Amino acid sequence: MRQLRLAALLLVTASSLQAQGATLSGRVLDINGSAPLVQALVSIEGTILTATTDAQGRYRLETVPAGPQVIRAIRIGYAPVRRSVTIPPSGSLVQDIVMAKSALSLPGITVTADPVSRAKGELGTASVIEHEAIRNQSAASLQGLLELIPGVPLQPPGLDGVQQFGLRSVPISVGGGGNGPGAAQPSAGSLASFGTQIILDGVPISNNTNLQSLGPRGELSFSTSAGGGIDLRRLPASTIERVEVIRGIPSARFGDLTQGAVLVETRAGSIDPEVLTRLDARTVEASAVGGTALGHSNTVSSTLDLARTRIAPGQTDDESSRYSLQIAHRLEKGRVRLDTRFDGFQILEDLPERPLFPGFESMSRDRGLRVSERGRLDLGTKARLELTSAFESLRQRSFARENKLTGALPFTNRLTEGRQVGEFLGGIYNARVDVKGDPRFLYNRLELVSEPHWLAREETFRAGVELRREWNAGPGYLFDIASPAQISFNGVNGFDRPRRFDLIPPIVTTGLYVDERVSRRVGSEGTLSAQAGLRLDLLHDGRSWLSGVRDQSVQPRFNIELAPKPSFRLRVGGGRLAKLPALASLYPGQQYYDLINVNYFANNPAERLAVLTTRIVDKTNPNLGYSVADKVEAGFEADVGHRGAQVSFLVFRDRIKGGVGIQSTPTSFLREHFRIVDSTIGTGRPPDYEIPAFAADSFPVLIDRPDNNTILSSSGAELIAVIPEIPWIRTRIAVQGSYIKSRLETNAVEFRSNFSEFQVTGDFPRVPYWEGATRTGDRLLLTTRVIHQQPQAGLVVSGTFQFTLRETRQNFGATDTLSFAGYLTRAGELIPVPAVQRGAPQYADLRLPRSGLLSDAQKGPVDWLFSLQVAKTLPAGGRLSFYAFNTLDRIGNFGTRTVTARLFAPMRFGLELTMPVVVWR
Amino acid sequence: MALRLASIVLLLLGCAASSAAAQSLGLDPEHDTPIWMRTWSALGTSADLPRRLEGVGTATSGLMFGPPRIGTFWTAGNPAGLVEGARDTRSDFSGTWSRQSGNYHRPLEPNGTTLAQGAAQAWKGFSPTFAMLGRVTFDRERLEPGSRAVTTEPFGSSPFVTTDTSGSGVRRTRATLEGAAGWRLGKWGVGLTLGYEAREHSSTTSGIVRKIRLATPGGVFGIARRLGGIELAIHARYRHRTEETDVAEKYENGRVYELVGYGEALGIDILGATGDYIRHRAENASAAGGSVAGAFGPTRWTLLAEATRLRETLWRQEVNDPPRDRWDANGWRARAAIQRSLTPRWLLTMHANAASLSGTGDLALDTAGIIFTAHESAFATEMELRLLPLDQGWTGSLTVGWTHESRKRQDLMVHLGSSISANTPSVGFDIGRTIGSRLLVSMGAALAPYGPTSTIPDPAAAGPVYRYYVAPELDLYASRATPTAFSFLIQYRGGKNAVLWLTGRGERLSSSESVPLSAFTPGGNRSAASFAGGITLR
Repeated sequence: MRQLRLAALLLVTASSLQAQGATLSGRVLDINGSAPLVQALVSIEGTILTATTDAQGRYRLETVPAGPQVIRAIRIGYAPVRRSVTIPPSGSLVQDIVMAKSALSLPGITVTADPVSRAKGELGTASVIEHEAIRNQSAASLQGLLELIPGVPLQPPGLDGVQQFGLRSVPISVGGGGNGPGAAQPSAGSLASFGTQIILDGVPISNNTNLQSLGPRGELSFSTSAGGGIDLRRLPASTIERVEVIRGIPSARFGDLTQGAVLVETRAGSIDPEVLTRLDARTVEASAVGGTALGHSNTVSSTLDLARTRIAPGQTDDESSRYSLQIAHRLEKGRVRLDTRFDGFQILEDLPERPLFPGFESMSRDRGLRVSERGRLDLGTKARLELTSAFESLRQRSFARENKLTGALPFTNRLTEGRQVGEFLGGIYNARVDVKGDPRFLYNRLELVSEPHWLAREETFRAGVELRREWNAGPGYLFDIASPAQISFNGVNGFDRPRRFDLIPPIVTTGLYVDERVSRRVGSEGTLSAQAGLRLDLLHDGRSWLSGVRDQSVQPRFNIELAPKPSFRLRVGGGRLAKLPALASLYPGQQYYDLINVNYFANNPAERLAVLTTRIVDKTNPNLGYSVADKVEAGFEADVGHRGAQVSFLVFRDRIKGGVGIQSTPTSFLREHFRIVDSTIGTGRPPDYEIPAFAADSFPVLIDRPDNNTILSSSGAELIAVIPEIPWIRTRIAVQGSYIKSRLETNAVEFRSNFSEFQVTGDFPRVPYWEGATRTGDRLLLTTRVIHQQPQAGLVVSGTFQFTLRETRQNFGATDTLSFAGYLTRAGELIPVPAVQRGAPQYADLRLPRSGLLSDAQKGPVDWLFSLQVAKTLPAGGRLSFYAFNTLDRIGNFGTRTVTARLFAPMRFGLELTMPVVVWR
Repeated sequence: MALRLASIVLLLLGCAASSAAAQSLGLDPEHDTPIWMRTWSALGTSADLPRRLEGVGTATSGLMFGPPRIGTFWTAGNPAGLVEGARDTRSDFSGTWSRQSGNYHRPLEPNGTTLAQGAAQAWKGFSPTFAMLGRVTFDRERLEPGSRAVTTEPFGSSPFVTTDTSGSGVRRTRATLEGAAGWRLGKWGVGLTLGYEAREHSSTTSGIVRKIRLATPGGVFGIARRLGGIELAIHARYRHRTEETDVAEKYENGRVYELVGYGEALGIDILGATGDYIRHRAENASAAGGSVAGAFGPTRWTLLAEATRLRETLWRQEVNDPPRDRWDANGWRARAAIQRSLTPRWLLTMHANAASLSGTGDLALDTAGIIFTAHESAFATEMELRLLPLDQGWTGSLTVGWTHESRKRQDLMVHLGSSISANTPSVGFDIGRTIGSRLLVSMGAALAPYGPTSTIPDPAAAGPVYRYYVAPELDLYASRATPTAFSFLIQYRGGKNAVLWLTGRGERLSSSESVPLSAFTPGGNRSAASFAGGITLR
């Protein structure tokens, strides 16, 4: 409620101000000979103001909002142009725009993320990556483009492995380990990437129902993005027009996120067709884009991308490949605009059997098809209705195969509670598990946008409703029970059974939001802009939007920008965001515990006897709900000097409460032991056993239930400075500094890695437990981009230096023998022991050193990395780029660590060739 | 049009002859690249005289690239002279395919290699005071199984060479990017050349995995000053090179030998349990010198002298400041070029190159001090008489040359040394005719009998590693041989400024000795063929 009152206060405050505007006019000219360009579309970014040039290349835009604005000009056959201008409060401004066939021929080309631009309709802190910056980035996927924002480490271009992106977080050491308790706790990276929303062409991409996981035991493994953010490999960089990264507080329009949002616009509309090929030692990529107008009302465009990366050439035949196809259609007629998109893709990661390790192989393949429709109906000149509907269907197939070795292991495939005679598994066998998931995602949003002039002349009001339904229709988690994938019993997660995904209930949510953005003049040249909104997210407990509500989250958000003068802007923002739990957490399924009553292993298989009692535990946590992030940030932006240098600095603090972790709940099962009645050696039949049991003991287990028990806090600062072109060397410099400190706390208990010994052998009456440790990490990155340009030669050279000035990881939690918090009994009870009593003689067996905790800070030395790209226009309007990631193949500074062969990814180099296709029309 | 002609680095097609050589082993397509096209590169070595298989080039490429150019830029490699050297505009794009095979080769190279390359090269004088030049190449080379080298360049003057027993096939990927810019400020000229080369080698068919990466940045900075009719210039060049070698078991055990001179290297077993064999090599090559260029009437000339230096270190441990093997070499290089028009159509050009170095090797983990020395020198001169082409009629050239090489290498640990000096006269011709006004057809041939005088260790007294990895190469250089080459060129002028061309060349090398020097002397012959096609825009 406090946030609500604050938002209301802001709106009222803004209402006392007045908005102004000016007339912007000028000409659009060809760079060669300054010929006027007719039919160029000129617009003001973030507004609905557009104009088309006449025969003399003239354009005119009325009532352009005062303050810093970005003019955008596009025309068929020419590279899009963006120009920053400062609009006066009133009067007129003349601004000519020069366009060129290739943007590389234009002076002052932008090849870095724009640090002070805004995502469309947003006031929150954002980095905008325009198409020219994308073309200069030599990236295979969206991940490579996101290196242009502060705090993101450089990575080699390619499709080598799963690519997930988490805003404003740094790696920290992970908890637990191996198959022991706590192994399933999430890492800071997975929480951050899970909470970073990727929005493709106005429609979110969801990873909530990705169940391609082998669970916490992970005795087999394959490549998967389950549990984190989406795999960015599905988004080819070559088909992306623009990326907006809302690093700060997104408006209330955005739901299902805790970190921030990445808005991706793919290339569509009337595009001069072109093909791109990329070749390096590991990756081959080809893509084609093109679009054309069909009459006055329709445009149709298409993109196609094919790529393959050999992951370890010479060493293995492992490879990743991708195909991506998009078809876009736009209809603009009267007051109606309809955008229709078809997206299809496949990501395949194939790790075939190696000669050195026969019997080991794995594969992961994601195929998807998405259809989306975005409709816009103009309701007069100051309001419009926008409807977005999308349906995505994925087909995810993964398998892993490995040789397993086990001793005589009794097992059963019973699916209900009870006792039955089992069988024995033993020796070496080839285990295989298949995971077949078919995630489905239905998304609808209806939004009213108006410019009501309630509070100011420049005002945008949005109200909308968002309906989501996500489910998984796949056959599920499949394996032959006679050759199970998981054989090491640890008492925590029991044994697995095949599971159908299509029986899991769907995730159904409703989102309601209102958002208001106003801008008013302050004093003679100042401007105050404010955006405030409120969002309500509802998680339903049934299969439809009419079902009851399982959890809800109210999320107020605001951003304020005060510009005492156009060249200086103070910014502050705050608010609450919420993220859905993953389907795997909402419905974790049943866990099977097979308690051995009789274990009689004779030489003759026919004479063996195993009797097991199956107990089933439902790990579902009915109270599991949204994780909530409280975010706040403040900073300033300044235009320095008459040549347009820009500086931006902000500090932020994010705190995600209720991140989904694992809560280990102890319990105990009664295990009965039956006596063998007779000896059947030599008879060819198993012996009989005697009921009732001759003995029984308690068998402690931990039920790992998903719980909102994790807190991820990140705080830090971001500094961005863009120095304009130094004329005599035609060089610009962009500096991005980022310090981020992450802290992960889990309200859970931890055990030593010998926990299964305690369970199975019964030799110990109790074992100590520890309370969850706090795991931290921080990193100070300074990324400097030097961009040299030779417009005469159509040459752009960009070098990126990334300095890691500080990188540490440390855990906080006592490790001495008195640090245990209590003990677990065989009856499944957690008994706390006060700290003052832990040295008492009766607790001597509990005084064990804690394991799995990184007590000493791991500190990496200062180091740097350099990457290079050189781009050149070609005679026929094409373009050639040379790129070299880790240009000098630096290994990295080892400091005192001597066990790692390399710290930096190896050098990667190649060429990109883009050529227009002149036969399209 | 201006932009098109201004291209500095261009399409993924390339200038065939100019750069296919740098990576290819054995018979060298670079033999057909004019000297003046190579000297400006910032990626060239200093204080190093790599050993190449004997070869010879024809002059066919001269018809493609025009008359030889001399001057501060083209002869001395000083970018301060680029404005004078590249007043015109030219862009070349082409693709090359080449293949060489045969038993007559060194043990560190395979029987056969196949190379495909795309490259582009262009220069332009943008104004009377500013010019730029650029070159980009990308190539893939497939080495058949048999190569024992586990390093990118196993034939340098340094005695430190890594080999293994796998002989796996290798796929090599290489990209180079080079550019030069020159400014003229009154009587002063200043220029900068930058270059970068990256390579990645990975094994293709073997139970032993080889992975090698090489990164080489380099730069040349020069200043020139006109004094009357001559131009004085000074320059400094620097090249850094870092190489990482990784050998690992795939499904076979293997062994790595770190060769050091003529001693019997101990093997290092490659087993999965012991992890990868990883070795790093870092090289810093630098040079500084001066040149003078001028003209005596119709005769233009350029002289260059520079001091060269190479520091190479090798190490294995993955720690900071590990102990390193070292190879230090110091030397000098001199070059002269003279050009004179005898008549409006006859042009005489003479080039002379000399280089010398002395190097010492030191092992990190012994106390013996210097364990290897080398004193190597080379002198090469070439004279070309060219009949310049007209719109119709005959054109051609006659080239005679002479090369002298001397290599004295001494292993102080085992007290074995080698001394090989060789004289190689060469002669080649090229003749072409313009048919109609658009088509030019030419062919050329050349031969260069190689005559060595040598003292080399007796392989019979050496160990098996020496006999396998070292002796055959020394025997090859101690044997007389006669490389011969043949080439053709077809050019078609497609428009006012565009020329399409297709060229091919064949080369063959075999020993001229009637009796092999020893049981380890390579036999048979080696032949190479290459075809290139492209377009030149002016």
